[in-house]
Amino acid sequence: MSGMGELPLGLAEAARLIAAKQLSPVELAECALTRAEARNPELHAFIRLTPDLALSQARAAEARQMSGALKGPLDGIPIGHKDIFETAGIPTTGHSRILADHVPAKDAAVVRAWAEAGAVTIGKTATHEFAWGGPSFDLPWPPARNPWDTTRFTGGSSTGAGAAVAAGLVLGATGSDTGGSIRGPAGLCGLAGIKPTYGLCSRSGVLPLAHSLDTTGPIAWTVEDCALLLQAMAGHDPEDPSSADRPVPDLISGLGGGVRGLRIGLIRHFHESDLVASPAVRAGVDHMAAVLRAEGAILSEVTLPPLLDFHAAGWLILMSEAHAVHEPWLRTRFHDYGEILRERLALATLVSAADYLQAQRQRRRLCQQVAAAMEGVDLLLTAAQPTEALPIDRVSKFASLESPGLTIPFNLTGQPALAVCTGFGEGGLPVGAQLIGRPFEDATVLRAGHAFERATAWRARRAA
Amino acid sequence: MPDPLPEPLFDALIARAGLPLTPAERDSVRAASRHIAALTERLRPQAQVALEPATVFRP
Repeated sequence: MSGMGELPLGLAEAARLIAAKQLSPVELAECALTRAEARNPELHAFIRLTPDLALSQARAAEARQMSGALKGPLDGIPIGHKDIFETAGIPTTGHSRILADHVPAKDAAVVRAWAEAGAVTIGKTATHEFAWGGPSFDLPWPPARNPWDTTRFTGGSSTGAGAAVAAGLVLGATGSDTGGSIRGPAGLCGLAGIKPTYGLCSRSGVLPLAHSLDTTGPIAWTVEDCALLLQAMAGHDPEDPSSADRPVPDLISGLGGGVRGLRIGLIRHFHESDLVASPAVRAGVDHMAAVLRAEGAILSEVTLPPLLDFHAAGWLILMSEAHAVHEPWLRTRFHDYGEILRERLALATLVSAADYLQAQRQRRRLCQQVAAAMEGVDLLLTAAQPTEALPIDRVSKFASLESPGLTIPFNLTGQPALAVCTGFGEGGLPVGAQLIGRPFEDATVLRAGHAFERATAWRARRAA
Repeated sequence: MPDPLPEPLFDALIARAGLPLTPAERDSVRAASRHIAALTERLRPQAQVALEPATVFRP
């Protein structure tokens, strides 16, 4: 297992092997570290590796394995943390010169949760600067590259998480999602990634981008892996004011229950007319609809407000709140930001207080309209990204504002949204779709995504 | 797509924010300001006078 071998295909498989004492957590960590050291000069998935921590955690997991005291499916599993998640004694930079020397005193709540479940931290993964500015080439660390084609973008902002999981360097990673930063890399790197319901997972100890939109969640190879990771990070945290004070949902026991009788509303206008996705992306959504129908789901079409309405409200809110977060550094350290983020933040200063409140008023109406549209369905379905991954040097500075995004609507509404791989496009790169549920019905979203993956063979194909 | 913000307004807002833009940055950000105008235009006609924001404070 050690050396430049392959990791198991997914987290769930690795967990089964560890539980059966057929896989050593120490050898698994050594394999992950060796792979990461070998591939990182090309992929830039990690800002830093944490071998001492990883091997210490892996040895502890192995001792539990040998004594029959494993904590659960995450025990001994190699993972990465996006470098906006604070880690005690390990620099947490936000991929920015501004925080290059920032060493937190304690772990973010979800970092602590995964560690307590036995996960093994291989390193801190690359991100767009402060989860918004990238892909940038003028920062202390280069941007992550897509393992399917290293000339391509990973999607952002959880760039390193997408690259590290897709390349098989770790079996799961934390991401954050404010406008699509989990679902973007999941979609473009051929992975599963869930933006949980707003408030389900703590953001305490995570560098903020926009407080009323920010969520934390997992990226992994399969939906089942995401469910296992999300189960370990969900739950109330009194240190996060947005955290929902409600029981932790059971995301695992019903995962294999299938979709028979589930009602799924296809938001065709999002990806076919409001924004015209590529033929492969559209075919992928239709493929997913057909598979789920064959599995017993009841498909219909639903109409939501135009994507541009979500786009306008979402970006005005995101920019205003990001400006508030960064205002002190903007005044004192403006040219320490990378070019992309400093110009995006400069643009954000042009949004007025009235603009922000108009956007929040529109947000309330959009939430009401989506809730009404979901009265007749259990889930929504649309594309995750409009195209395959673009060349990394052709992502424009203000790309997010140039056309409406497919992911930000569900940051506005706070609903759980899962990106899954639906196949490959004309360029041979992955394409994906999103399943969206009602607030706090994350388990239903995961169940449908798992049913799709189980009925298709896309999870057998890996990046070289 | 709307026009960028008028130069005097743009310069006043950037000065209020305290940002030391270079001439190249000023040109780039001002050109992009048409996106802000597009976003705000999209919202304004739809706001009803009594519509509450999504951030109503509950003590």
